Amino acid sequence: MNYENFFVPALLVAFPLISAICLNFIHGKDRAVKGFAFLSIIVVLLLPWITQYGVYWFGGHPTVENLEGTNIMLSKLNLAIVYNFGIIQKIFIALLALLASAAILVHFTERVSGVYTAMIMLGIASASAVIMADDVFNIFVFLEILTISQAALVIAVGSVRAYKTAIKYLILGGVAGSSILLGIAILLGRYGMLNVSDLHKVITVESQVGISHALIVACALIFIGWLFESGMVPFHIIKSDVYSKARPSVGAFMQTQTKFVLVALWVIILRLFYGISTFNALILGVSILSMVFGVIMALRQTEFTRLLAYVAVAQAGLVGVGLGIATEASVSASVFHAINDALAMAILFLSASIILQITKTMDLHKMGGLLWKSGLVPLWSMLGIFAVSCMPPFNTYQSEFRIISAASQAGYPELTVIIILTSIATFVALIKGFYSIYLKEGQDYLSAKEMDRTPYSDRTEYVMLLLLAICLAIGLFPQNILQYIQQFVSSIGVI
Amino acid sequence: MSLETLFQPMCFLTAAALVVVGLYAVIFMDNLLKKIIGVTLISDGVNLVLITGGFNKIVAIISPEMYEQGVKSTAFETLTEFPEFAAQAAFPLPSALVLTSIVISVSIFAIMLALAIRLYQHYNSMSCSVIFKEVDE
Repeated sequence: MNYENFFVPALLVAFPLISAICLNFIHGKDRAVKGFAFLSIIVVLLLPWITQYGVYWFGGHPTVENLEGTNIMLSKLNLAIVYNFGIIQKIFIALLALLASAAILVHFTERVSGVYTAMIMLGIASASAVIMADDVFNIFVFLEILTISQAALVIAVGSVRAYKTAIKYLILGGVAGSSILLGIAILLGRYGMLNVSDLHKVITVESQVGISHALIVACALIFIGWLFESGMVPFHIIKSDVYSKARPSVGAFMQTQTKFVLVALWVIILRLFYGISTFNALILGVSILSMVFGVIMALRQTEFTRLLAYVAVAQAGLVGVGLGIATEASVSASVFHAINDALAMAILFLSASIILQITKTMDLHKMGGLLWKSGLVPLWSMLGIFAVSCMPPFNTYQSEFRIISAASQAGYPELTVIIILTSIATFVALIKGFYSIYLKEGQDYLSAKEMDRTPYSDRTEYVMLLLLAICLAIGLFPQNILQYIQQFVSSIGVI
Repeated sequence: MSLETLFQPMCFLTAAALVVVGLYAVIFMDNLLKKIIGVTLISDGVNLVLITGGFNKIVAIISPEMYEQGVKSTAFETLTEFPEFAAQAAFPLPSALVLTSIVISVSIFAIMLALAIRLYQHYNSMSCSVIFKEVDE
């Protein structure tokens, strides 16, 4: 059998989707679910590394003769679903697969729900599709599926608070999704096509005459969708709510999805609407607000997962700041920071997973005295805090330093001050959490001597260690990743 | 003005009305069920915009081969050239997109309704001011 054209990018979406359907069917059969989930995890982890690079046309029509004088866009235009797979897409999808696997594996000793693992698989498929897709409608479809899978993962917790969060998320997601679809309808009505590369060419030609009002309206509508999917102001509260109500290991996966979707959607929006002069200023404005509000809200939290959720929102804001500055250096640094921060935040979310297993609570007032009761977890957590707070030699230091340099070079010196202050406030918020969990005087549950009998998942600790090693490796050798990011940013062609 | 020329503007107006009513329900109505219906109204309005954008006098064509079959029927005997036929045909792409969009809307609607039932069972009320009384920061 010839395998040369077998591992195509579409498989990165199709396999998790098929796996999700199968897992749904075997829901309730614990051993079957565990076996199938384990096999799926192995395949999902391997797929990004063996998939061929390039552009894949999924269900494309053959080119037909040009139909001049008609509004039918059959000829020369590609009506296929197009997936673009390069090194950056590979890094994004591989990281998603890693954290999704962690979210499944850390609960492997318990009874595993088929629907829960199916929703994680659906999350990988939808985020991968958004990262790779080159047509706007495909992106809309998978963004909606992403919203459904995230809401389902929150529902899986099974509490009334989780249901309330999920329904709020779905209502807002429904409105934001419709907003994106209306933007797409305007683009389709005006240009008769959905492929981003084709739209980019047509809009570039049209922009030489002037920017049409239809384009501005489409931009505004799709921008609202971007705000929701990225968890930017004013959707930062619902996004942090979703992270904090889900299991902490799932929260690690979700915040990674959000950061990668933020970057992928921004690239699409930029390619379509780069001619609109206020577009980057708008991105920069909401990103600064998200960064500042996120960190201020994090400082006020008394629940550890909620604190982490707001820090994740603030860090997404920082990624947005680099994108909003829109120079080649700042965008490279931002994409780099999205990868780095996803890794670093995942360490802290996984530490929260261990703490929840031990204490059965996330309330910082009820916790304390875990320093000598939880093995080496406090050490890994402290290193994770250093990583999220952008301290050397960790990877986030490299990316944040580059964002600050780019902001300074682009003529935004005041922005550098805000970014540094945000980093300090992030560190303070996380240290507050660390103190309350590990250093504060022990609470009642410690004296009940339940601590010594409370096991926690070793696997979670191993994943934390692996993520720390990756953070450190990238921090020491940033150029190994950065060179590919710089190539990717240059290839966008409009920065 | 003929009904045919009014058809498209009326469809757009209906779509705008659906979106506005939906937004009103989502923002101002207290009943959770009405909010959920509001979301579906918005979605329906957008679908209507999409399908009206592709509307044209005669049925959609998807390939020159279909045209060959089409001209053999008496309905299109006046249209002798393919470009002439194509210029008057509906754009088939929005119809396909709307189908997908409807499927997604229905999925979201189903999950929202299931959640609303669970919340009703717990709070014995559909009022958002009751359900979301304890506000999380």
